Amino acid sequence: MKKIITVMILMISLIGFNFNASETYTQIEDGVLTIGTDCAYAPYAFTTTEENASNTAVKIADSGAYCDGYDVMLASQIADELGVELEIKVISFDGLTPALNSGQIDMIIAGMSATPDRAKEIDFTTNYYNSEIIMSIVMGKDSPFAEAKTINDFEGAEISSQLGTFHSDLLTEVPGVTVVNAMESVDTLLQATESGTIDGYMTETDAAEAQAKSSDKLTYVDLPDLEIPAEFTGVSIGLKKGSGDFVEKLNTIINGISDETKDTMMEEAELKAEGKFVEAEDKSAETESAYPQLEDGVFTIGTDCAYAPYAFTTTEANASNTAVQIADSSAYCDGYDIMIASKIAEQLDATLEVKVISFDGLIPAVNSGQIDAIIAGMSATPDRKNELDFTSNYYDSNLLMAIVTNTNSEYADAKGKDDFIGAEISSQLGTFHGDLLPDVPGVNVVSPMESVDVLMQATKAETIDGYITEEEAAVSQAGSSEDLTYILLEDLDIDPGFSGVALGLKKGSEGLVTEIDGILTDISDAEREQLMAEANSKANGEYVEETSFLGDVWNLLVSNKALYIEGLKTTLVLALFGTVFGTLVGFVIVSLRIQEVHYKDKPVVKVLKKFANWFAIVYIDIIRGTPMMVQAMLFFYGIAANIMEPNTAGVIIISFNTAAYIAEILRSGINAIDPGQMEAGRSLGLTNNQAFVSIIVPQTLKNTLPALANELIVNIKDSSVLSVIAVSELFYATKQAASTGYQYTESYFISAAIYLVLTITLTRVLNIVMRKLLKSENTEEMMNLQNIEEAVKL
Amino acid sequence: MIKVENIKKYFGNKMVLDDINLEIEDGKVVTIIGPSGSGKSTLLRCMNLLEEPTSGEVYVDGQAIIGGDVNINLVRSQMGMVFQHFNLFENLNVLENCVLAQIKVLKKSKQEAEQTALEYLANVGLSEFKNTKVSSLSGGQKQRVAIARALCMNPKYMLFDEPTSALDPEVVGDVLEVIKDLAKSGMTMVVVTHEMGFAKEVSDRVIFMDKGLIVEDTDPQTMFTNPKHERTQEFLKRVLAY
Repeated sequence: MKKIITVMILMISLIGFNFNASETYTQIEDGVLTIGTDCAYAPYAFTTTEENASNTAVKIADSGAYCDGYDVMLASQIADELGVELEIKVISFDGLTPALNSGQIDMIIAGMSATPDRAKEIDFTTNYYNSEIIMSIVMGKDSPFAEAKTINDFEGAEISSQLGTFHSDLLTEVPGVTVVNAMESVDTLLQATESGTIDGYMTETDAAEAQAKSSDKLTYVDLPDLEIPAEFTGVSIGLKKGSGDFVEKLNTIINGISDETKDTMMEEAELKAEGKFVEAEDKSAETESAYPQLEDGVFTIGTDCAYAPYAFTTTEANASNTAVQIADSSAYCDGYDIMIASKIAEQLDATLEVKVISFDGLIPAVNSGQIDAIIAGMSATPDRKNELDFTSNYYDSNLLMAIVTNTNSEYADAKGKDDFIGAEISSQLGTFHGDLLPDVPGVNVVSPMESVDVLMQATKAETIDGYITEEEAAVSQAGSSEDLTYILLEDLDIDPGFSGVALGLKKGSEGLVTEIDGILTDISDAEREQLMAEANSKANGEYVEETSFLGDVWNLLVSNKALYIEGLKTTLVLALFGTVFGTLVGFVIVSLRIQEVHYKDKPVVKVLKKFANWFAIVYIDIIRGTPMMVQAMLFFYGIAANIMEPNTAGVIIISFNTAAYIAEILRSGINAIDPGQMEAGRSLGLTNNQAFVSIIVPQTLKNTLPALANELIVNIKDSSVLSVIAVSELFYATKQAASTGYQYTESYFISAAIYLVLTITLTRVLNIVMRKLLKSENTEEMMNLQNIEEAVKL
Repeated sequence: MIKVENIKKYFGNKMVLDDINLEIEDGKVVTIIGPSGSGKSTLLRCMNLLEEPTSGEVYVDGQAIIGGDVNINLVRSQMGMVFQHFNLFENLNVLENCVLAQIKVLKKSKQEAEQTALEYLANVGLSEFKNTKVSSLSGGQKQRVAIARALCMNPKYMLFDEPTSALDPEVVGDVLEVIKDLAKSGMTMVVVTHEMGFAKEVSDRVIFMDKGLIVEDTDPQTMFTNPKHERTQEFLKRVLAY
């Protein structure tokens, strides 16, 4: 199934060429590329029925049948790239050259080799498949030569070949063979062999394998020691003499397809020729929502929802009819991506769910199954294709890059890419934009930054001279601030792989990709442009007119009140539960850590104690030695994404992280307790464990209370890193609110204020509580507390 | 009977107890005196294995508690110990200090344990402090609670490790009174002390230790009026001078 995807991906990258395919050739002036083939030379080309036709099959002109195979896949790609329709005419192999010369067909793609004889008649492109050719002889299983192993075993055999091929030329090289006149087609050869009229025929191994497998009466033998002249070892496209320019164009296309892709296509064609491929296709067609992604009836997409006009966050109050509420949030996401996603979900009969995840967290999220697809203005770059399956492009941006710069910058008046000499230019992390910077002459490439807001801030502050992004985004972002402007880089060459945006799915989602491609095909270019225009105007509507800074802050706070409150709640829950669970786990860790081996212990106990020590030390080292952000990514995308919600995972991560720090706090707390306490317990006959639980633990807790309270404060702040796994805490809410109208400074200002108020208040409250607790040595106060507690309960 | 046999104790390379042999008969009060660092406290702590001897054996009621197969926690519960620095449980109040081990070790009910605790607290004159946090008690009160806490376990032996050394002089008397009463009741006791008058008054036997050895082991009369060894004479001369 992987092969379909490879082809799809290839097509996507080819579609990208559309905009510069303005030159025309006589062959395709009518918008149709007509190819000729005998369509009877599997796996290069073979005929199939409408029922069995795979997605790469093409209907034969003036016929109910379909033609499929390597040649057809290649022809489709070429037609796509040329931006024309493909038409297939079936002509017998030896009739192809006349048909070409008479203009009946535009070119021959028929597993034809560019032999010197043929080259006199017609033009040939470069080889579109190099078969590393090995010849074979196909024989009847009952034939006396069925057991033949080498070229020397065919003494006296009657061997034929296909008319018009070079194969017959090679037969003379087989010792003692009786050369039978070439026959018109493979069909004839097969029948003649099956019936025993001839002993067999010679053909290329790829073809022999496919043909021999088609009948249980046939077998074939490789002839690796048969020498083949170099001009026969590949197949190429035949064109009418004098097609120089068009040959060049086709060569460019053919050379643009990697050998790897060609091999994959060949494998696919072979499978299809054997019928295996068709079976698989049928199954997925029968059970329509057999896609694991849609089993729950929900199509969950991931986006950072911060890349207008593709996707941007908005509030309930401002949400347009195309906006969709973000999962586990009160905010909405809107934009071109969302409109497309809604259409896809509708066609798939699924409910659309939108999850907001930072751009570089999207690929792990889709791979872990947390989301079904990425639709986030993401281009199907070669690097990403290694990680994901991509659909065809859902928007071809006629990609123009732009550099956003400060209006006060010396580069603000730049006219094109040549005016940025010496400029310090950055780009967004995880995008391909940075890869284009070396093509801007004289530019100093600054390391990519995490998000658009950071780039905008850096540019506003003139830390950098600007950043490179796509035109749509540049217009939108520069439009959001008086301090920013943008310069289009019209003369910048862009790799076709970057010029469109596609949906990214987990590897192995060929079926769903095909289905979505079908849906995307039905959305016309005109409709796409209209949706994009709509998204643009909606995104622009989001920009709050800049008044005063504090005015902006107030407006932002009011319009995103729900978002901030929700974030605040989650942050508090994370910090509180994290610290409490962390303390419990911390006690477990520290009790493992302080196990001491006693000479009277049984050997098993000694080993266990040593292991407990080792485990605790390693645990503490690992947790304290790695950033919580990394732990969060590893835990969530590595283990938890399929099992639990991000918020649950967040509590677990923060608990087990805090536990390591608390274990060390507790250990120093335990060490600080007078050893006499333990001795007194032991002298009364308490066991080690009894003394630990009844005497050491309560005193440790009391002594370390200030440090534990401090951990709580630290957790309030540190829980912000959990935003990387989409835990809806305060920092995450801040980012969401910010992306609404690129009001990053304002949103972070609000966030800082909330964190500050929270930590200062909590510090004061905890100080008071602690003073009370530590003071209440006196029983009466304790009694009072108990009475109050009981009263509260009643 | 507590019997100490060939006990040696090293702290690192330093020998603290040098092959000690000693028997404490039931019903007797034995005091151990001697200069600081002579090994008195270490010897006492070896008797309930708070300190593990490097070699040798301790027998309690004929049972070997080092090499033998005994539940050391139960043995300890029968050997009440009073520390120089009281070592009351800081997280518990007076009553809870006395109750904890009764419940955990002797498996008494809370009610039963509290009743016993109150009796002993009354004996040491501290009933009214039962709900007080120990940190708000004076040193003398703390030591009396510590004695009550040990007695609550109904021990057969009592070990006192310099019970008055950390006390203000004016409360030393209160504590010694309590210990004296206990001695009169027939409890088997081993007392490490610097209180020579007290030793002379309550002891059945007085042991003088120096440099990890038992130098002299005799009745109090002989010890304080007519010691045989030169080192004993020197020590007593110095401590009794003032």
